[in-house]
Amino acid sequence: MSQPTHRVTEQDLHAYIDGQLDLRRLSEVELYLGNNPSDLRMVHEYRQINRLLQQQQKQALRQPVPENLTKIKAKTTPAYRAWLIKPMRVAATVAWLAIGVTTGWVLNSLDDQQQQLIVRQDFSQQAAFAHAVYTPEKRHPVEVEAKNEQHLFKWLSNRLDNNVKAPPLSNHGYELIGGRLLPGESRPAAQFMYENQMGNRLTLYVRTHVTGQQETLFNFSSHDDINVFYWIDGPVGYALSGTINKPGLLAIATTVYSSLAQ
Amino acid sequence: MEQFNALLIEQIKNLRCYANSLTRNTEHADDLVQDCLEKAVDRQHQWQSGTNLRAWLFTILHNLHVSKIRRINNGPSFVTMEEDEIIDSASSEEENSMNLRDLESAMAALTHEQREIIHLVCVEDMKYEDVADILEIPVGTVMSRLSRARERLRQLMFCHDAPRIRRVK
Repeated sequence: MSQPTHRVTEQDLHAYIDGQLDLRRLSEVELYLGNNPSDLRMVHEYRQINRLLQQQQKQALRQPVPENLTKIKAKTTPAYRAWLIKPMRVAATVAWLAIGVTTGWVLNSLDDQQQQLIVRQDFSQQAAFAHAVYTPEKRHPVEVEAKNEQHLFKWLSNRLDNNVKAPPLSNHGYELIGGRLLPGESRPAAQFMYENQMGNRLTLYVRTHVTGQQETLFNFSSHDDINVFYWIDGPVGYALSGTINKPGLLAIATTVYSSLAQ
Repeated sequence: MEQFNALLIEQIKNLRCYANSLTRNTEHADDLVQDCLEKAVDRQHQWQSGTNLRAWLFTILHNLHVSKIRRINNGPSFVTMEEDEIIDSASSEEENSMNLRDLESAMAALTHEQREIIHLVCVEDMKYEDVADILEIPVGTVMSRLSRARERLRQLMFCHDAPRIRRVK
């Protein structure tokens, strides 16, 4: 804002009124105003307008807030993400309905192009994709419910050929709803879904024999409005997905990691 | 997250004032605020805790208003005067005194872009650079708009030669 010359500009006058003037210019502006009565009057009148506006705001802030505004809710159905291919989502739902509880191999019901699309995507994107597909489901968000927890863990561990379980997240307010089986690169993946009292859902996506990845610390990526923390531990890859904010999700991911590391 | 909701609730009053400066209509303003809050909840992960929540919310509200304006194609709310509605200045005290009613009428005569600038700079006390960020315009444009808006208000409220504007319902 400061000019190389000493000429006082209109911008300077506004900045002077709004307290945003470079302090070095302050004395120059005041000197100028002392010698220019019409501009001085203008500044004086602008200041009066400011005072009136602030007075009006003070009065307005005293007004009570209508109650309906304080009941803030998220929209109940998340908007469909741009990259969620509609035919694939429909196929996934139809396939789910057709195959029942004992198998979850959705991949077979999709055509070649769609299958290729899934396997080419990277790990976190697959987790986010699966999160987007299944968390909006109201009646069938999972295949096997948490009440059959032991069966759920046994079944998924069997299919993934590795010990798989969903750690408890009740300390963060999330309860396990259940889980399902999903297509992965060379082997199926597992998805566990959690929900809190406000209806927010998180998913934990687990894959074994994650190809092309080495053991890693926490990675973060964001797909549309879905945040994902993911890490590789031995042959197993984990990804925690949710639409909550990054620090919140990190705290929960840390709990998942610690629980599973035992 | 309840914590985020609590932070949002703290900002509602200022959001309402800002929305009012844009719409000049309490009902429309509250609709705008409601939309803004819903959007904020949906996108809460985009806000970094510790950064300026008000500025973030104001940006959302500004953009919602811009979309609405585009749809409704609302022009500037300029009030024109009928000859017989010109009020002669009475006593010299009335002439020189300003009150909030005059301010209301004068603000109604500005465009919503001008009112917005006035609100953010004069009422919310925001730095010109921050205003530029919220409105997604260059700082130079903020300054020129501010200058025009202020001068317009000044002419309406202080110029005793010009007819006083009366709000037409």
